[in-house]
Amino acid sequence: MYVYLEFVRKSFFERYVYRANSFIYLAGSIIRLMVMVSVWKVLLDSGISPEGVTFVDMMSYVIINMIVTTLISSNMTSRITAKIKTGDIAIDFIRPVSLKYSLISEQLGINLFRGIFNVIPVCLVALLFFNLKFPNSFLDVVMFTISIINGIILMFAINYILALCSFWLKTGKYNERYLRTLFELFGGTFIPLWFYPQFLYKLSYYLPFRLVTFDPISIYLGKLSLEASLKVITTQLIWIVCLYLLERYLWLKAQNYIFIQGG
Amino acid sequence: MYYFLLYLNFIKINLQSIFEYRKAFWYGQVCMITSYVTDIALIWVLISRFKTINGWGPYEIMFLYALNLCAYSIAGVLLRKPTIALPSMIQSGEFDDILIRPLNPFFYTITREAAMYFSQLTVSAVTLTICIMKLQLTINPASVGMLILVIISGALIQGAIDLFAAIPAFWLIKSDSIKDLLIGDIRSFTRYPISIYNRSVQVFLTLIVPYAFISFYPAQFFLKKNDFIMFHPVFQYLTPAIGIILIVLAYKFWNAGVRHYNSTGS
Repeated sequence: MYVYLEFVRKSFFERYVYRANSFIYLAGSIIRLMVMVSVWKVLLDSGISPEGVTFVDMMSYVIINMIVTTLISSNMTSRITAKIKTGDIAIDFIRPVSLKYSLISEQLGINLFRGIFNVIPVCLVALLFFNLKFPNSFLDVVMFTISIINGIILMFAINYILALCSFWLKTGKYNERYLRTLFELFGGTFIPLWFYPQFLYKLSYYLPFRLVTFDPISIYLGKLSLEASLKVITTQLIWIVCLYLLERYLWLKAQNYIFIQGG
Repeated sequence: MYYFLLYLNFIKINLQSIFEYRKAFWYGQVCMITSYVTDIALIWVLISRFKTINGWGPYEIMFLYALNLCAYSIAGVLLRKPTIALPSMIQSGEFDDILIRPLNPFFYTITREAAMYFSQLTVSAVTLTICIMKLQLTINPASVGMLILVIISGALIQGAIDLFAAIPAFWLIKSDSIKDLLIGDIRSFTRYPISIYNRSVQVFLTLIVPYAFISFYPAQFFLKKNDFIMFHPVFQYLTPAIGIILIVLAYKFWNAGVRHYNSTGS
């Protein structure tokens, strides 16, 4: 455990060396926030949509979404592909630390850096300028916290499975983009699923992506009843277990499949 | 003329090297097309759910998006790769290589790295056609000519912005974040009509980083709108002029940059 914390710390400070850039990235995030705010302001001008969504709801939605998508962003696939291409992966097989957890902890370090230098300032700006909604009850807070942590674990599992697939696909960049597209389409990160047409909503319902940010935020905003929230958390846990088994299976296969092309 | 032939040759070479890895190429193209189509579809879903955004309907927004994407990809074919590569060329000292060729360094750099933007061009052309049909825009030689002129001038504006984002590397050596900001984040304003933003943003996108001239003002001409915020309606015709002025300025800036260039020595 301590080793992996060290991984997190290392990759955090690697980013910290180049922190001057983060001001410009911060400006970028504020711009993206401004775009979303302006769009929702115009769209929800009349106050409340037929689905019962208000501008204040949407602001909280956009901001929590921004925080979570930063925490779950991943370039594990690119990193593992690079290792496979150079043959460095062979070293990872004989190392006394697990490839999975070292990749994940490095990613956490990067994401934490961006969280601290990018997302927290954006949130402060948002708190200054907008009215944000806070959960109605303590129970909602608890449910939200559990579901958001599950959501993050779920997305890390999906990202890691994609990374494992590069043993067979041998390409990284585009797979990450495919996943981002899927996530944007079925996860409701750009438009909440409330506003989707029926068939798209149904389709998203059976995929795991909505469980990552959309459902937890719905809990936060008090749109789900207690039973519905419990159902979300159970579904998340089922998905996490299934993905864990899939990932174990792929890992076993990959170890036999891997072919080191020299270095 | 000479540069044009050179350019064609470089394109040929680049295509050959792309088609060496045919599967990877198609995989990438399908990926890019999926991601752009998803983007457009989601915007369509959003706007059609709410009927209009500030008086712009879903197909009008798509038209805006496609116009922008088209200019972006044409600028991309000509200029994107060199502008992305410039900072690292300067960092590694590879730029020395360009200066010792018996060619104009500017034209040599941009012809050498022709990039292919097949997927973006296809997506934007198809989307533009769909929008023109759905919106029943008048099609006559004049309007088609205007559309082509607007797209080319839009590409000049985008190209000039690309250059302005990359050239500071001559002074700063590392300037990737400026590029990300100008070409990535600030461009994301242009997905929607700029009339939805705060006044200062509108002024910024019109006078300082003139993205609004690529799609917003010309789209008003084609869609017969009157959404000029605080500016004069004549702005809908200004795109070509702005494009030429900006690209000339960018070229001047490039020359200043090259004069300032000291090899990093590595």
